[in-house]
Amino acid sequence: MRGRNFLTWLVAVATWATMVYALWNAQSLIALQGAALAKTLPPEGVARITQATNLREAPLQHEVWRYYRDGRLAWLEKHEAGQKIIVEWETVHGAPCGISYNEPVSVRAIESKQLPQQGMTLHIYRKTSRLGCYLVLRDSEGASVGVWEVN
Amino acid sequence: MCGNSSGTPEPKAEVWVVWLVWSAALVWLVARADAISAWTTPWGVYAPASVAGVLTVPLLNPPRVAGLLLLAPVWLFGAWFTLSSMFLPSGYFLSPFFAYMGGWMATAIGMLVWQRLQARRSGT
Repeated sequence: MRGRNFLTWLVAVATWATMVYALWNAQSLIALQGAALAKTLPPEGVARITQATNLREAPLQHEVWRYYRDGRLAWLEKHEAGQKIIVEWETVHGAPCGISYNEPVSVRAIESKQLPQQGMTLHIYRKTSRLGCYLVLRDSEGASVGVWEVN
Repeated sequence: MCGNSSGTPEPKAEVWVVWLVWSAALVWLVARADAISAWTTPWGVYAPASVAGVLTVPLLNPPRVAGLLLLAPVWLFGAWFTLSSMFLPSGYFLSPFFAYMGGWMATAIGMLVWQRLQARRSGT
């Protein structure tokens, strides 16, 4: 009976520890699912990339960028090693990203097969919370070549 | 089920061991989320939710403190997972709720029905 009680409490402690860990880290699980779902949905906004300057690698970890908007133009900007990195797009139709602009935002490439390039199509999907969006990069054949998350 | 000195049936030791494995599986899923395929991830949510549903029945029948203590994290994770759906594309708000809580409830009900059928078959 003592062994069984020990096992019961051991399992209870392990399950609680698991939950705390899972709660702490479930965000990346949700982001991954969000990206997968976004790729299957009709976009809320369609844009064309007009500029991708000094971008050598996708932000695979959360990075602080700034998000700007001017009419139909929107862009993400970051300064790194004395250079200004810009990814700019023009909304062709539908809704823009919806987050507040001229402010720092968290940017992360959840998937990155190709870097954004001028002329690529960008599909915009707003999050339910309206506090961010998924940007799905599509090549000339419409295949998804990257998903960026902006919060 | 095994009995104890007070006559209250206790879950078999295997139930606790499976719970331990369940905990390990959930940690693995969350820790490896970035490395596994996006289409595998939802199944990784249905699976622990379904196992939790099966194990819920022996833990709550009859209700005991240790059982509730074990189920609380399962419910809390489900609630948090549902809230996190605010970060999914609009239109998918309730899908994590159905994936986790739905999988859990469906298997719990299935387990209850199976137990009743077994009891009827054995004539108890």
